[in-house]
Amino acid sequence: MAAPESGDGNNGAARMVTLISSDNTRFEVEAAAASLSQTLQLTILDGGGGGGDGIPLPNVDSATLSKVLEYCIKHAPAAANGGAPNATAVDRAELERFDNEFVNIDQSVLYSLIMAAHNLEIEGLQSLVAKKVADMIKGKSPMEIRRTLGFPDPTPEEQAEMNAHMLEYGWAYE
Amino acid sequence: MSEGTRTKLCVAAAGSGIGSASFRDGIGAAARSSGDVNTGILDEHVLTLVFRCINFDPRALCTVARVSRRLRAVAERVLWRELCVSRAGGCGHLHGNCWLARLTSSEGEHDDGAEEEGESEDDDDQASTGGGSEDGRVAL
Repeated sequence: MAAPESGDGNNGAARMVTLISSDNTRFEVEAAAASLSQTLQLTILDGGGGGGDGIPLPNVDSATLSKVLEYCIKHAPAAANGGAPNATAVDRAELERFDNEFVNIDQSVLYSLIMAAHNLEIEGLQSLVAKKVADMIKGKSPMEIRRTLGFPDPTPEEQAEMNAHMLEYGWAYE
Repeated sequence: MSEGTRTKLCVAAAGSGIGSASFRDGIGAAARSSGDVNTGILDEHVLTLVFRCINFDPRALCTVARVSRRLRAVAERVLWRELCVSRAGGCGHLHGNCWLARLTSSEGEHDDGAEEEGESEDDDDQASTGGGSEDGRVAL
C-alpha cells in the first residue's frame, strides 16, 4: 500500500481515485490530478476509480506510476486554471524548474515514462520526456550516442559497418 | 459507456508493451513479441515517439542508424517509414487528405453516387480509350 504525496488530508473537498499498478500497488490520488490523463479522465467521469475497486493499470509498474503521479500532482493546479492565463511568471518558472529536475532520472525510467505517458495520454509528460531523450541523441556523433546510452564500444566489425553506413548516407553528414 | 471506457483503458494499458506491428496500427494492435531484447531505447515505440518529437529529423535518424545493428534495424524497418508517412500529405495519420487514406478508401468512394464520381468515370473512360496510364492505375 503506497500512497504518493496527496496534498493535505482534506478528503471532503477533493474526490480521490485509486490507481493500481501492475505489481498491485495502490495509489490514491486526487481525481483532478489523475484527470491529466485523457484515458483516466474518461473512466473517472464515468464514476470509476472511487471506493474500493480502483483503476487497474496492468502495464505500468509502481516506480513509473509514482513518477507519473508526481508530474500530475504538480501540473494539476495549472491545468485546472486552463493553463497560462492565470499563471504568474513565478508559477511558470517554478513548473519549468520542476520539469528540468523531473527528467534528471535513470534512462530506463525515462523510457518507461514515455510509454506510460503515451498510453495514459498525458501529452505534456510525453513531450517533456521525449524531448529529454531526443536531446540525448540530436546533434551528437554515433560514438557519443553510444556512450550516452551506455552501449559497449563497437567491435571492429561494427566499426566497419558504421563506416560503410556513413558512405551510404553521406548526404546526411554534408 | 462505462464499459467502453474501461475497455479503452485496458487496451491502452496493455499496449505499453513491445510490438512488431506498425505504430500507426494503434497500441491495441501491438503484440508482445520481443520483450526480452528490444526494450528501453531499442523499443520501436519509444524511438518513434522520440523521433516524432524532433519531427523525424533525417540527420538524427541517419546518425542513430549508425549507432548499432539493432538501432539500424529499427530505423530501416520503422523509422524511415514513419518519416515518409509524416511527410506525405502533411499529416502523420491514415485519414484526412493523406494519400495512403485515399488509396485504401477508394472502393468506398466509388459506392457513393456523386457528381465527382461521374467526372472520374468519364476520366476513366478517356483513359481506357486514349491509353492514359495514370487514370488506369487509379482504377486498379
